[in-house]
Amino acid sequence: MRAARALALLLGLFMAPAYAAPADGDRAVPGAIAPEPTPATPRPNLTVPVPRPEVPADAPLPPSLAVAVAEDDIAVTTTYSGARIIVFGHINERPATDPRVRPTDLVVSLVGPSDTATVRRREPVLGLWVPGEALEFAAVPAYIAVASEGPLEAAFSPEDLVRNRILPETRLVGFPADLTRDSFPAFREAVARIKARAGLYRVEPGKVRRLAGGLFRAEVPLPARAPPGIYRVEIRLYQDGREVAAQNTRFYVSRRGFERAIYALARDFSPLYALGTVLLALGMGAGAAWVFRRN
Amino acid sequence: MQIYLPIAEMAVNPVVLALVGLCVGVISGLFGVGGGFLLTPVLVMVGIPPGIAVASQTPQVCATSLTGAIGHWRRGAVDVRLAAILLAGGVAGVGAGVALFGWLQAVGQIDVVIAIAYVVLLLSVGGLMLRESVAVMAGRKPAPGRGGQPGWMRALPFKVRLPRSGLYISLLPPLAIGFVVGVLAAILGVGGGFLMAPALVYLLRVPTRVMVGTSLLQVVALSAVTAFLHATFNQNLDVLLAAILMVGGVIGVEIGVQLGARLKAEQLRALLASLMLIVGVKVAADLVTPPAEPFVLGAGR
Repeated sequence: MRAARALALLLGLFMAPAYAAPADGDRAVPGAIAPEPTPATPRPNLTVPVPRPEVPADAPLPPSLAVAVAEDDIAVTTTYSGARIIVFGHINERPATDPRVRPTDLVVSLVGPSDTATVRRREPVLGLWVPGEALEFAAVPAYIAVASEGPLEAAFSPEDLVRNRILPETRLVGFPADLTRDSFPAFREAVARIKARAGLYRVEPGKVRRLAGGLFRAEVPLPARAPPGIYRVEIRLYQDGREVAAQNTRFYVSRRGFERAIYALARDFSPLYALGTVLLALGMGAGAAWVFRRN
Repeated sequence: MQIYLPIAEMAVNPVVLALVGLCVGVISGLFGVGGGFLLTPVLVMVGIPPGIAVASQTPQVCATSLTGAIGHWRRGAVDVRLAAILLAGGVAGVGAGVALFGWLQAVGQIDVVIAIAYVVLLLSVGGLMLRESVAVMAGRKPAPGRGGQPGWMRALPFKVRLPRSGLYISLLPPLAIGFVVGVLAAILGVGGGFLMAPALVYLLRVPTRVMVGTSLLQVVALSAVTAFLHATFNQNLDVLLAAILMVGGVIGVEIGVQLGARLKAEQLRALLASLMLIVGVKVAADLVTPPAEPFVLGAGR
């Protein structure tokens, strides 16, 4: 079970770029999938970006990031009603002296555990609205929160938002066979919309604040509906819509004490759990009859 | 105050849920039904996922029915032999129903099947009951429960004697009734009291005096089996949610029984029938109106 989840998460990580919009210069063929070259070697350390050819030789060092979450283990106890995730860190960048250079934009995203999901479109059949066409997604993160310094639209062009996979819906991963389906975009949009309405996919402008001395602090809400699991925290620094520095970290949301015991019992010893539930019901019913007995 | 539900994976206000349990308990005590047909939609409205709502309210039906059944037992108004036969059919029905539930959930049609079954059952049973009870109140006395079984039923083999109900009937009709109620109990999360009661009176001609207690005893056992199977095979029963509902429920039942003692039987039936029709029309309206959100997000395989 755990292994399967870990595998799904891993798959999600590697398959995700299948959706990224074609890079600049690529001919955008409608419905075509931009194939991601499989990295032969492990991913390079994201803190050291590969120098871009257009950068002149005498340019200053690219910015770098150091980050941490204030609390990396969120305990789900009986009274758990959500949490606030505080991410802080330091941006090491040359202060912009040239007024023509746009300041960098910092984006902090929380991405919850991914799972497969099936979406169905309700269609009228004999006057009744019943679920019809279905589409399965390989990885749908249970929770996504994108925190930024200001409104995303002010800092990024629509293409940048998609190419950098900043918006929640760009993180939804379909199976390759479904990507060319005409209805795919509508289904992907629907998942993002339903999740957003449930408060599970959110965009939080203004939740990232820069402090003095290159420090920054982000405060992102984690509602109680966001399920237990491993959460990735992605911190990205952009300049003119291009990523210039990146760091990842993670935190855990895990059941504790009573919550953990009940969950483990229900999953691993379900007949025992079932029996206990039935005995509880019979006990309460009989107890009430005894308490309220008349003569 | 909020309590985190371990299986539903969400925080809820326990006071609100206990009050929901209490209200449904009052109705179930008033009319002698489990109240599942009301509890499931209300829980879904509160935001509990439908599958978890259906499974988690079965213990509440079990607890409240047991409270009621013990009361009738003290008055000697329970036909244990008949309840056992109904239950034998019921257990088989619940087994089939839980399997069907799992399958429907997998193909994504569970919500529609639940909705359609609700509409058909609530409107037909509610409509019949309202017509009958209004006729009684208007003075045209049809006297339910008298007369013999239909001819084809008397021709069936495997006859048994049920002294408490004063019947000598074939095993097959009560087994079949039990089976159908069992399937519905598992799929709809209802104890089936609102179906069992008319079936016992109008089909088997069980005297009304023993009907309620017998039906309740059968609901106790059936909902216990349903709860067990849901928790074991579908793993969608949240015991904390069930416990909160039960606390309110068993108190509500007592209030309902007290209230019910001040009303006439046909008035109660007319009220219950109206309630069933209202819920049925509401569910039907949701089925035929174009949904605001045409897409439904479900778990993957």
